[in-house]
Amino acid sequence: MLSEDNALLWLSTVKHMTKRRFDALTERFGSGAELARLGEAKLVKYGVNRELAHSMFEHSPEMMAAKVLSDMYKSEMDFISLSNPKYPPLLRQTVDCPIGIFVRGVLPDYSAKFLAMVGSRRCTQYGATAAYSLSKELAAKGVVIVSGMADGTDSMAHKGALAGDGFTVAVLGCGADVCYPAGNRGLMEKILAKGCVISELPPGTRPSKYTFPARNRIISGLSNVVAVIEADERSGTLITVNHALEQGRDVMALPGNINSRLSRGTNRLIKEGAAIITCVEDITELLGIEEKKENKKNSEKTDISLASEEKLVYDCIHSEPVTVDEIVLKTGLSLREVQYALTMLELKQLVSKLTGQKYISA
Amino acid sequence: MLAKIHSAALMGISGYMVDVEVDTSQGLPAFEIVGLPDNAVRESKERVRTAIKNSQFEFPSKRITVNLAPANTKKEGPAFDLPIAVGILVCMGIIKQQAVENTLILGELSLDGAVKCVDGVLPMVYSACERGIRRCFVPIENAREAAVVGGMEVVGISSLYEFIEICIGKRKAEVTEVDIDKLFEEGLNSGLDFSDVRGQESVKRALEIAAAGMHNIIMIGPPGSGKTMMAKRIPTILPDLTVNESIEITKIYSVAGLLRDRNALITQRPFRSPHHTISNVAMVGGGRVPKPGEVSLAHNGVLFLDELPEFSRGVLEELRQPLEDGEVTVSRVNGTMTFPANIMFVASMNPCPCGYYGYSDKCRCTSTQINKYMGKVSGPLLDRIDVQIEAAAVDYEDMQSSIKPESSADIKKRVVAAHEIQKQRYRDENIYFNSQLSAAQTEKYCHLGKAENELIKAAFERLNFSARAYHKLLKLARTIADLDGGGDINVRHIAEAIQLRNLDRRLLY
Repeated sequence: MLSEDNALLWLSTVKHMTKRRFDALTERFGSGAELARLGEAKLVKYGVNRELAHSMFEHSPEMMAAKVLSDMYKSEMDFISLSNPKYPPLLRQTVDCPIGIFVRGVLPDYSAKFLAMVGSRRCTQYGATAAYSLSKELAAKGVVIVSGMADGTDSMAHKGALAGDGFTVAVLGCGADVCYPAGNRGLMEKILAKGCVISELPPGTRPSKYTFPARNRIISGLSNVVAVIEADERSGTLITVNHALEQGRDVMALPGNINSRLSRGTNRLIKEGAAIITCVEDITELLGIEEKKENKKNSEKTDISLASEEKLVYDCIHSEPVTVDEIVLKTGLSLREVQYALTMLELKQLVSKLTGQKYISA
Repeated sequence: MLAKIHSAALMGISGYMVDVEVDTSQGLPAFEIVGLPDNAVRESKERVRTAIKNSQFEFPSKRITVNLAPANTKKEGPAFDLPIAVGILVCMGIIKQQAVENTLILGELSLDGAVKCVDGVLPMVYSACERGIRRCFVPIENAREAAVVGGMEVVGISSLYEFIEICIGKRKAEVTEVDIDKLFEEGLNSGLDFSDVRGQESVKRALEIAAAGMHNIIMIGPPGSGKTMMAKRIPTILPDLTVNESIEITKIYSVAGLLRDRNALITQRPFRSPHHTISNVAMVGGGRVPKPGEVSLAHNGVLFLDELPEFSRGVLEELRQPLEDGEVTVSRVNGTMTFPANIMFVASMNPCPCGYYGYSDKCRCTSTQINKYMGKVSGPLLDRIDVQIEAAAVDYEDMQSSIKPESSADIKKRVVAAHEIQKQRYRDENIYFNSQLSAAQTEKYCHLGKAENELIKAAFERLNFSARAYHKLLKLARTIADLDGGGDINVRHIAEAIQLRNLDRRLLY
């Protein structure tokens, strides 16, 4: 006889086992363990959908549970079922939540605020830096950054959260022990060290076309607010937005250049009523975080002592990237003086270098 | 009767003397060539026979034996046509043996008796000169090339008949002479100049530093940022060729058969920019009888590889040895040849497969695609490239800018001065430039003060530098200091060097 937890483990490996079906089955038969005990033939006899019953008992429940448990053991993974009090409370409230989640790493503190940061995989420099700096600041304020560890915006959101020394959750569209995209292996390890990786799919599941839209509902379900950084008009990101709206989450969007294809989706969201992101405070306000007043932003530019040429150069660098040649033109300094000043400013971590000899203020 | 004519053949890029011995004797008419001739040499029988006939002489119906000594090396090419014909004419008594004593003869014959040009004349004449031969007959088209060799009386001839007339004294030999100094003066103006390039000041500065320390350089930038345009102008800021360097280059071009339409000497630093579909053999040299490849053709000049990741992996890996040693060794059945390949390596690449990553929203490349693209250039090759500079896109305003960019001549002055400083400093070492410093030598010559050490330490901690960048940073700082007059390395030099190592930095975005 399976324990209830292992029964849920078995059920979460069953294809097409949605929350609704699970609820209907457990209401009628009492528990997951009872389902396992009855077996395929009896369930069908009691009127359970023949296909569903078949896929439930394709392999024996005990065997499936044992196999998943051993896989979980290999990659130090936990299974948090709906019946577990450690199940994320926000996610539990959603209609279509997973029966259980596989977790690697440390579970977050649920009293913190959760922000989902999503966007296109092919983000622009603008989107990438925005995702990075926003999540860095928010993470430093104790906000948990939830994203999908995909290329582009997702990666930048995670990286920002890690740089802000905060907590970050990656929700995968494959088993939590599978790294997809493979190039993010380094990032995944860093996330595991400081946060957690979550999936509703059993360990070893390969990513497929269908798993990603489904994981998007977990990203929005885990979070208080969903922030969209960049999205084309037809983008997977908008699936997350739809889930968020169904789940009653607030949606925010970062406005962008009207000519940029990747800002069309976000600009339209704003037009349709999504909250606009113009600064970190816009997000913290919606999350309901109290701002500490003494930490005024505009003091930083004057606080640090800079040599005169460094100051000249620093004054040309804002949040919009500028090239070295432009700085030379604006300041009237020689190229060598500018290069020197830039290196010093970079070392003082006041400016950041971007691809293409461009600089922005850090 | 026996005739002996001096000729020469090629081994790599140097020549060696070949004695063409011709003997006619009584017997069934026959024409034999021995001494390891290849097909082109064996076929010269027919050309020689017809050319003699068409020069209004009777071809002897005797048993003719030709020997190419030394008999143990393979002879190839048509350059023996003329010496063989002359040998037969000597045997026939038309020309006296004394008339061709101590004379080098080279040339291909055409059926009507005209003398055509051959490859590798300069190194062959050079080797003859070393062996004490003071007169040579070469095809008229090769005459200027041969005349570069000092102390050699060069006579250019256009037909077998003309040659015979000269030998029997009916016509005066016209000696070809070239004035090397004048050649250098004429060759200086290539029409390219750095003042043509507007904007891109930081890349130009990087190129100046690279030229000053003979550092290899890679430019990364979107299409249309002027990478190729600037690369083409690098030879204009390198010091002028010395005569010896020039002769070395000319020899290579002569062997490769690339000298025909050119002047007697190559007086400008070569700029080679092979297409990315190039094969291994074309790049480093090879062939049944090894011929120099692009790395050698760029000797003492610039080898520019546009779109570096598009080159096949094999070709790029083959570049490692020549970049390290300044020469390339090719082994084939017919021998192992070493060609010089002392080059400044210049490469360019786009930041991503579409070319616009980081420069325009047009870019739709995923980070996986970009990593794959950047990964095509292997670590060991990148390790040999000291300067990694990004070229930003040029906009309309830059093009219209009223500031007149610096001319190549001004930049060159600084580069030449820096080269002098390095030559002085390294006179006891076996190197010439900062880029050639070994790890131990770097420690010796790139001494840092306290402030400089702290700056480097901070750079490694905060700017995501990888460890292997350390020595490169020091070498670059050394070169920048040399451009400043050769004093100690200071913080400013290091700060500027840091800006020249873009690929080392794992940039956030």
